[in-house]
Amino acid sequence: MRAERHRVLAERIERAVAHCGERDPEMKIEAAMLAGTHWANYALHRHGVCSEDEDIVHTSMLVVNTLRKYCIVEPDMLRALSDIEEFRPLFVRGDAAGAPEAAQRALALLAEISVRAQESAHSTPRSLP
Amino acid sequence: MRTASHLEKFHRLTDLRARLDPIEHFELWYWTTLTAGTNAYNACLHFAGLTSDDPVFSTIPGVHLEQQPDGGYARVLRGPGDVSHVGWPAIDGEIPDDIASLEIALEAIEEHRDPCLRGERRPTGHIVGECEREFDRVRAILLARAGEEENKS
Repeated sequence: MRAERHRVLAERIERAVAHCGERDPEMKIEAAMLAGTHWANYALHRHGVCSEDEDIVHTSMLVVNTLRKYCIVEPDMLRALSDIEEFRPLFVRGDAAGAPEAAQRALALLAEISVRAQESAHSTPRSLP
Repeated sequence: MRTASHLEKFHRLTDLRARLDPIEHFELWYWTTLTAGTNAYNACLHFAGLTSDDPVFSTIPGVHLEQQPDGGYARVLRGPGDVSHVGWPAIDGEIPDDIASLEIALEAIEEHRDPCLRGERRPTGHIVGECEREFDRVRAILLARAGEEENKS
């Protein structure tokens, strides 16, 4: 998908999550996952290490060597995304204690990802085989 | 996950989707709808005895997070528990008609997932209407199942 479309979707999800309250930790985590993934795709497309037809859906579903390649340019962003993903089985598909705190942490990680992705807009795209 | 937790999540998520604008907040409204629907599906499968409601949490098929004696969670290999999507993993055994209808409704909602959330398709009133209609079916099937279970006990 085009980098610009990723940015638009990430920003729409960030605006929507403002409507989640204390009782909505699941969707805070899911919003962080969805928007964070769009920002990661935006950044990777801008860096030129990932073409517009090979978007990430989940970091956990990536081939290990592909994840390593992306981590060369955005290690902190992909680590943050992976941290958000770890919350999903516990607090979205599960009912482990600590969901509100995990949700706040997920949104903080999303904020970090968002800032970093927007900085990537100024990077010069690589031309890789 | 325990059936009571699926029901509790379903009701909270249903409350949240009513607070979101289906067009302006489509992506999160849609995901809330889908997540609520998946909780309804798992609750119905547990009610029907087709899957276990052991307190373990699904990751990929066959791998669940299970609480350890120290209170932390670890990935373990286990048989069917909660499903993440219809058919992922597939459920063994005969699916009752009402749950088969619920699966069809969820699949109809899922049709819009990748095109709208990971593609270029823009949300429309028609898409929202279709999701609303299918979600109403999901909710009716869940509430009927839950009511039957309550009458039994």
